[in-house]
Amino acid sequence: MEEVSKNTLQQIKKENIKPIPKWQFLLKDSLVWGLFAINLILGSIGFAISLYILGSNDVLLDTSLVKNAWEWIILSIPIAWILLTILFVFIAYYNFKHTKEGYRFTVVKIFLMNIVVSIVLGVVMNGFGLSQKLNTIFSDNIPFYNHTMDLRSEVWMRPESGYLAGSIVDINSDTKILKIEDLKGKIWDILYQDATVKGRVVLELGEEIKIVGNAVSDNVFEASEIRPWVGNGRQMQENS
Amino acid sequence: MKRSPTKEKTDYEIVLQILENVDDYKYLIERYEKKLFIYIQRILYVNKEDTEDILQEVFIKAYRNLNSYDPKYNFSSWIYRITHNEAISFLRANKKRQLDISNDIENNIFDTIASDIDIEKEAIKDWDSKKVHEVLAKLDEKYREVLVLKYIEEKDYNEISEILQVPSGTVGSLINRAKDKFKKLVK
Repeated sequence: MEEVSKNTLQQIKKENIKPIPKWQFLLKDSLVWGLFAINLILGSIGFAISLYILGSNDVLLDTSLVKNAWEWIILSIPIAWILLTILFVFIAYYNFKHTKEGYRFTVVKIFLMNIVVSIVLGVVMNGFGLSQKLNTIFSDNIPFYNHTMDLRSEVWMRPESGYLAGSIVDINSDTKILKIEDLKGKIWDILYQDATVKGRVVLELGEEIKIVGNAVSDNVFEASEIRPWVGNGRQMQENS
Repeated sequence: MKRSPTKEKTDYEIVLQILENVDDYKYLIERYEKKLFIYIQRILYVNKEDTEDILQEVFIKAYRNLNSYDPKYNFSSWIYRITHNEAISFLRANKKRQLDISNDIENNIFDTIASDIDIEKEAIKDWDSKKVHEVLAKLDEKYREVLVLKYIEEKDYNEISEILQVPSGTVGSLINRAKDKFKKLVK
C-alpha cells in the first residue's frame, strides 16, 4: 500500500503536476451560474413575448380571419416563441444541474422552479410592456422575424383579402382619408368615412393599426373597421 | 512511538499544507488509501494491481483539483466522489471485463450487508461473507455501490448524496431498490 503514496508523489513531481488554480474553479462556477441566470431571463422573455403575441392576436378569437383549423393553429399560437421558451428553460435546467448544489435537487424540482420563475418574470415583463417593446425591436431588426416568430403580419398583410396593417403617417379628418405605411413600407390611402373605429384607436400620427375592408386599387383601401395593432377581438369588443 | 503532528489535523488543514508543500500529500494519502482501496475493490471487484492503478489516478486527480475542495463539505465525501468517478470511468473503459470475485478482501465485512438488509434473517444468517460477496457481484454497479456505501462504508444519506451527486431522496429509493434486487437474488 505504501507504493501508492510513493508512486503518486513520484508521478506528481516527475510530471510537474500542479493544482489547478482556485480562480479557474471560481470562474467556471460563475460561468455556470451566469448561464443559468441568462437562460432563466431568456425563458422569461420568451414567455412574456408568447403572452403578448397570444394576447394581441385576433386569429385566436376571430376564426373568420383564417381558412382552416391548421392555419388557425399556425397563426394564432406563437409556436416558435413557445418552443424557444421551452429550450431556454431546458438549458437553464442543464446549467443549474451543473452548479455545485445542483445535484441536491430532483429534475422535477429544478424544472418546476425554472418554469415558475419564467412564468412570474414573464407576466411581470408583459405587465410592464417590456414584451411589446422587445417584440418591436426584434421585428425591426431581425430578418424574417415576422415570418417566423410573430406571424400577425401574415394575417394582416393580405390587402387582396381585405386585411391591412401599418402605422399612420398622415391624417386628413376633413376628407376622412388616412395615409398609412404598411408593414412592408408601402404607402396606402385609407378611406375611413364609413369605418367603425374601435375604442382604443385614437387616430394619431405614428399609431399602429389594423384595418378590415377592401382594396379599391393598388394603393387605396376602403376601411370598414379600424383596430389597434395591439389587442385581440375580445379586448376590442370590450373597448368599443 | 513518535506521533505524526498531522494526525490531529483536520483534512482541510492538511489540504492547506499540501498547497504549500506537495510532500505533505502523503499524510492525506495515508489517511485515505486503505479505505479507498477497499471501497474500489468492493464496488469494482478488480484485482490488486488494477485497484492500485485506479487509486493512484484518484490521488492524482484529487491533487489537481485540490483547490476545488470546499471546506464546508466533508473532505471524505469529496475524495469518495472522485473515487466513484474514477470507478465509473474504469467500468466504461472495461465494459466486457469479468468480475474478480475470487479476491477475499476482508470478506467478513460483507456480513453486515446480509444482516442490515434484514432479508429473511433465518435463511441468511448462516451465509458466509463469500456468498454475500457473490450476490453483490451480480447486482448492477449502481445498486452494489449504494449498498456498499450504506452498509459497509456506513455513510449517511447526506454523504451518499454528496458522493453519488444525487438528491437525498433518490439515495433512499436507490437503497430500497438495491435491497429488493438483493432479496430477489437471494431467493
